Amino acid sequence: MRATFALLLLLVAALPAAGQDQTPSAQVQTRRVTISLTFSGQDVFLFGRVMPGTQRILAVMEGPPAGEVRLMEQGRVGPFWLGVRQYRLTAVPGVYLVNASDSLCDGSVTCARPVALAARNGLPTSAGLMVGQDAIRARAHVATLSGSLAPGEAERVLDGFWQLQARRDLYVMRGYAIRMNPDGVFYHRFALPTQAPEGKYRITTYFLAGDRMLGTAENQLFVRKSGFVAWLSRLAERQAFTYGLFTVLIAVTAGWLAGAIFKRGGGH
Amino acid sequence: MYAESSHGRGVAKGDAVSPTCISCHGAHGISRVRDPAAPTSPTRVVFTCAECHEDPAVLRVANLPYAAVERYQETFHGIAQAHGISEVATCVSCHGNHDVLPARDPRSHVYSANLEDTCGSCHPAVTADMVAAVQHPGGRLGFWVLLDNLRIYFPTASTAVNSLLVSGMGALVGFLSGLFGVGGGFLMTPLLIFIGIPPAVAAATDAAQITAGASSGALSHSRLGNVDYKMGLVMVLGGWTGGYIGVQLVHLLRTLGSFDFVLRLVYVLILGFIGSTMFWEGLRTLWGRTAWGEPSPGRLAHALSRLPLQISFPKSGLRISALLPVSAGFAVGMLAAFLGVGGGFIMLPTMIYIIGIPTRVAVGTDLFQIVLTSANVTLQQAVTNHTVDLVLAVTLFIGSTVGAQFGVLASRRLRGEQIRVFLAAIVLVVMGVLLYQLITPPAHLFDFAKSGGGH
Repeated sequence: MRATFALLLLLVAALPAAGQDQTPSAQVQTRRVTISLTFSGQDVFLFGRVMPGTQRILAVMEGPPAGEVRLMEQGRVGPFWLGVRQYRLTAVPGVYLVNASDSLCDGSVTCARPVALAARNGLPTSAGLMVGQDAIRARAHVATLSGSLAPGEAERVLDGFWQLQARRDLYVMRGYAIRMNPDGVFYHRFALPTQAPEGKYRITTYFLAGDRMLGTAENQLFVRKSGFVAWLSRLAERQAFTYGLFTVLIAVTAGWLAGAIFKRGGGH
Repeated sequence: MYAESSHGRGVAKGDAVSPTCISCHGAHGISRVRDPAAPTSPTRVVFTCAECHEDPAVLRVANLPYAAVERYQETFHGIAQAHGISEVATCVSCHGNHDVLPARDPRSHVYSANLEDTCGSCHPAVTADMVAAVQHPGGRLGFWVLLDNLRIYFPTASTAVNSLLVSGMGALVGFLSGLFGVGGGFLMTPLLIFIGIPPAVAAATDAAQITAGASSGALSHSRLGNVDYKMGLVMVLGGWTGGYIGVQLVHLLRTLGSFDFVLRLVYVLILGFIGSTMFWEGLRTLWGRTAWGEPSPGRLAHALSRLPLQISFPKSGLRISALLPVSAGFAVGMLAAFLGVGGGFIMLPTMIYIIGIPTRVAVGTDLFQIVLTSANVTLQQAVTNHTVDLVLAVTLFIGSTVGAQFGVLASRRLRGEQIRVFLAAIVLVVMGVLLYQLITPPAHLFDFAKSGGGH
């Protein structure tokens, strides 16, 4: 109820600013997503008002950094497939969701890699607008555990990583996902996946007109484990030995209990 | 019009919960829809509908979908409506007012074929996507809905999976564990990874689940007199030492490139050898080619058993050198650490064929030593890697402990050689799957690398 009320205030504050204002606005439905035992992903709703002249909107939700990721590449040696090379990835986000108001491919029906939106918009990279796989590539750091990288190898590894993340709904790009009303209101939602990590999420909304970027809006979102889930996770990290002992104890008790029940129940 | 609607027909039938005029329009002070205070005004009509459509008693009596209004409030229409935007579609915009009918009725405004017209009255260029975005079918209480609600978020795995599925997997693996005296990690870890648990968490939590399943089985076998505690402890002594040294070695050898692959290949070869030998021996016994009963140990084992430190193991009916079970435990423990599997597959044949423990006692004793070994692994994983998920483990226990009991019951109905043949068949199947994985191109060339040593 309180959340709804807060939301109402937000919208009321956001919407009357219509028309006369040149600064765009974007609001996120909730600033806080809590992970409880029943959590299985959550939709995060965003809305706001575009700047006059906006033709397309891009919104990027970026989760906390994924830390160090280790990838193994499979390769063929004789008749066997085996892990041939290991990579270490750093500076990649744990979650990367992109919504666009129109096609991600600028008209072409079959586009294998929905990237380089910014480039096609004629925006210089230094303007900070680079969305999709290129954005990940620009920032990520790839290293091998042995030897050095061949040209183009880092890109291949990052594409593989993108696919791994996409399979878990952590990296998703959706075209035609943002609706714009003629009166200048836009709205859309990000599907925060079940495996979304805890931390601060940054949502950046870009307002574009042809080749120009008219403006941006920033929002934040916090994802936190709560209640029992939080307590147990922290226990596992901070009191590892107690937690481990507790787990073993429960395991043996459960086994013993089942054995005891069956002894009484079963007459054989 | 009203008389034709589902509300009107309900009232005509004498249905006590169906709304009449005053249910929606109020009794005194009736005003026009334009009046914001009217219960039928755009800002209030949702609440008016909700009075009945969110009332559990009404939903039950009239067999209505539940949470329909709640789900409307999650749509774009609903969110805008909640913020006092009066132009947005409310219940009556789509469902109609006096002529409201269930969506399955072809005359209904929300009947699938009529949706385009209905939405089109506000949105001239309506697309299927737009329709899908605002549809809010209420739920029905049913088997699948119930099943869907059984999803649990596992704190350490950081993902949500259906708990019934997890318990069912536990039951299956528990059954095999109770029957054959194996930990079942060879099956459980891949299954957990398959349903979306991160590999590191799957392997570590599996150790906890094996502890539970094995202790359940060990207890029952102990009651049947099938556990040689002395033998088990002696073997664990060797196993822990071997495991410790093995883990250290793995850390050293991982730096040598394709070490993991060599291990997998070795594992396949070992499984193939054990499986086919055991299968053949069991079949011969079953067909009566050799004398019924237990196989006799080979020459090397015989020589080893003559070494000093002679101890008698009354349960197994053996008097052998303690060095034999200790070194067997050591070898299996080291191998298990190398391969990252529990080692039950290797341990059980070792006990039967090399040490000469009767099959059923070997199963019970193996389960006992698995309890100790996997408890140790669980603790180590929890301390060093923080990858044990207690909630996931408990969900697995619920199935596996019960499954293990049935496994033990089944093992009582089978003769030793039958158990050996079945186990051999499973070992061969696992070998086949592993071999298949080694020679078929993977679906994805990149995957997350295993971290740390095996257990």
